[in-house]
Amino acid sequence: MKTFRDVVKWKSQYQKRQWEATPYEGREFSAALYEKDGPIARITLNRPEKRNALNDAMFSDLMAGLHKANDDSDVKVVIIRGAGPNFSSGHDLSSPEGEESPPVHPSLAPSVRDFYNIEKRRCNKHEDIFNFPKPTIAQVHGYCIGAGMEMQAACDITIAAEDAQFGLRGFGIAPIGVYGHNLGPWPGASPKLLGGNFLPELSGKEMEMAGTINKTVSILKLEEEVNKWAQAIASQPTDALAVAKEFINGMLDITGYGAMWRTHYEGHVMIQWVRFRKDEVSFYRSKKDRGLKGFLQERAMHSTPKKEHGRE
Amino acid sequence: MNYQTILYEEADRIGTITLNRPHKMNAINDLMLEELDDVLRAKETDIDLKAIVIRGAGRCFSVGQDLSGEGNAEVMPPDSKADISAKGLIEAGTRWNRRLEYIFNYLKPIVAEVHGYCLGLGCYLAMACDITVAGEDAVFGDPSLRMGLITGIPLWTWFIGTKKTKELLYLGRYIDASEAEEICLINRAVPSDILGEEVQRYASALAISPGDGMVVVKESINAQMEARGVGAGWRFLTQMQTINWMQQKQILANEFNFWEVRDKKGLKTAIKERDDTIEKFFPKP
Amino acid sequence: MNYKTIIYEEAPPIGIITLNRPDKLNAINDLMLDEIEAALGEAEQEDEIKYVVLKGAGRCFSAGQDLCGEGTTVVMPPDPRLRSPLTPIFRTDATLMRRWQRISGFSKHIIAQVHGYCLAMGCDLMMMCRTAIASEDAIFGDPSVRMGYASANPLWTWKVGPKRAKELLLTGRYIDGKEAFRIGLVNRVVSGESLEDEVEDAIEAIDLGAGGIGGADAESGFLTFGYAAHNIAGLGAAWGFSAGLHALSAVQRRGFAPYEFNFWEAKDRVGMKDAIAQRDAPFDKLFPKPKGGAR
Repeated sequence: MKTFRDVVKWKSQYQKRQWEATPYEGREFSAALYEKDGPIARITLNRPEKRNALNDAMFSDLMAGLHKANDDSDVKVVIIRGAGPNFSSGHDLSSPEGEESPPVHPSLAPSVRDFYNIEKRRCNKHEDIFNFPKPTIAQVHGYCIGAGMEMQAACDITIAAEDAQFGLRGFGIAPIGVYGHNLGPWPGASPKLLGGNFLPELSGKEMEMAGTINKTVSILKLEEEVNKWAQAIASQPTDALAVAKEFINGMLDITGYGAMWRTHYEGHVMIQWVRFRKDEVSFYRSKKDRGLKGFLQERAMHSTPKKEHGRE
Repeated sequence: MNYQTILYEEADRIGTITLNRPHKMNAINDLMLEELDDVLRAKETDIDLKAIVIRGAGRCFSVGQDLSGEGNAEVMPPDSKADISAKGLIEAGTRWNRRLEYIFNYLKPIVAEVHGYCLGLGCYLAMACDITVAGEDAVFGDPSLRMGLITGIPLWTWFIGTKKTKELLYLGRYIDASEAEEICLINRAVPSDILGEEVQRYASALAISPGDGMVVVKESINAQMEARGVGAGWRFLTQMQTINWMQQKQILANEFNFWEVRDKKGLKTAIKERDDTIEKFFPKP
Repeated sequence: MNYKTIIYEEAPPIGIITLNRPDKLNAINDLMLDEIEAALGEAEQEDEIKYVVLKGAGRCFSAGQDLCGEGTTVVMPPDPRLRSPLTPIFRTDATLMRRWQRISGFSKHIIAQVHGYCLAMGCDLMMMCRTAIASEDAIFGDPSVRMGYASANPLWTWKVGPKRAKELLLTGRYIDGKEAFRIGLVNRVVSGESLEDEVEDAIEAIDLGAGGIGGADAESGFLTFGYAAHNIAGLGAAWGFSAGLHALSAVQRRGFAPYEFNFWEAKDRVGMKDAIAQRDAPFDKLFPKPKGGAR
């Protein structure tokens, strides 16, 4: 039987920030594209056929793009956006085992230390984006789910289409981590975060009302609006921007942001030992028995209120 | 007490401080800070005075620190061309923070009555007060970054959250009273013609509450803020300001340099050019 | 178990705690706090129970701590005129804080179903619940300051931010369900008739969204980690501050200036009901009480 170490070759490389550790010289950007437009760099998640699900190749290009944007002294602000009809549908659960995105199957019996390594790496790249030295803007349309949601939350500014679909549908991940912290009061559990909705799915408009993102506009105006914000930020003095970002992020650290990032990956580690009850959908069991599509169907079925499909 | 830049009146156990440089849109200079401090300290021990109201004379609450370069050694960062020690900068930052921290932790409730512009230091002052009521013509904002400076109060993230803080400070965008209410920067936005009345309502309620009880309430809420790190925030701000003031020299050649424009073309033009850079994207409310 | 001041029922996956002193507007006394904790203990032990609903019998959720003075040594600090010794007061407040901490850090999701008055300690109790759904006629507020006390609840600044916390606690102003929703004190505000249904729907949605898919295990893990993060972010220290300051408001020597309304004297003179009316009257003139309250 395969063990964890047979499957997963990489180790935690947390000594360096992940974007710093990813070289960009001579790189052919494909899973995420990089372009420069004066003081603005655009990184486009580019797997539209997979709704921009995040796999290792995409993370790698994204990180290299950030690295390049940081090294280029002309660039003052970075926009992250998605190609095709969506921003990102989150981690690619169909990636082969051993990649970063799918959860590790419990039968591989990883140790707690193994789990700390993977989860630190999996979760902390968002922290790296959060602490990226230049201002970042997320331009969100269509689906923005799971890790996609994390990514927009880690950007400094989020501008979304009104009908963008934000959400977290996990196998045990309730809205924890950075999104809650984007609110002033009661980080992580703000009543307003859910905006009166208890399914963790919100439209762009609802996210705006809850105060978790900056602005929504019609999808036709999204590009224009984001460019306006990017240019406005780019018109500010570069050095003062750097100090301002350091100041605000430092202030958040004082309020316990560090603890929040940490509980995020501690939470990830912990859910490896979640016990699924009979009436609950187990990702691992479901994916094994019915494949990824089958799991998604089963989950969708369970996420529909009884009234709507007569399941009593 | 005779003050040059403020007025002080007292009635029904409520003290009212009026920022009084209307011809300068109540720009705050060293003297005003000094006098504000002076009157607050004099009144803090008067146990029968229950609450303070701060407001502005003339057309607005305050446009912020006086940028003219005269009589404002304290409210403005040290001249970037002068040779200044880190020690001097830290002292300047600490002094600045102590002023606002004193108001934030003042032992009586303070109500800010805001109309018209409430920018920069004016906005910090309104934030440090306990209750802020604004007329709907009020405009809030912090244009510091456009002059190469960071903000002057650490309370932003606690008040309005991460995303909104970054939005307001990065862009230096001005917002109107109703948006300020929505994001929790102020307590209430009310029609301008009833602003005075509304503020009196709050002040009267404070005047009839037990004074000792109110002190403990304010103390307990500020203790919560302290537990959430505001105390460290003031100090961290001082450090960041020091770094910020040192790197003042590094506004890049191709970037708008407020201080150069001010010295060459005068303050009015400099402020106009400063605001124009952002107004083409985000018109003033 | 047999309770005197509450009713505890189980309808898996939900445990229901009903505050049951309707003739007293569910005023909270020492026994009620004990019994709420005991019922939560029962719910915690029962694997089938994933959610707890907390509601009030009769005309409101709860009008606050019982001010009558019998069986209220925990919920009420002693009369400020008594100049009580410090130790028992500190002990009482520390105990109260530990109790709030146990409820707010409870390992299962508690939903408060709020109608009518939800004042002072009733409001504290509501805020300890992770989710709150209120009817439009609900009234929230903490008038403690009018009696010379500070609120003993450190969650205010987290829930509504420092500005609004100061506004509400310094003036003791009452707000209705709609405003409570707008400022983030409750999750949802619904019409009075549909309150019960809405709570049921909400639990179903929570179950589908987090519990049903992820497992109740993950949900309670999330609660635990979320709570830990808040404690690290300062909530832990805030409990201590609150206990100390609440005790301070009970031992202060002066309490009331001669020209200030003295609630405790008024209570002795004209009785509880009239004292409360006298306490609120001048404030109601400034900030009229919203409609609703006790149905």
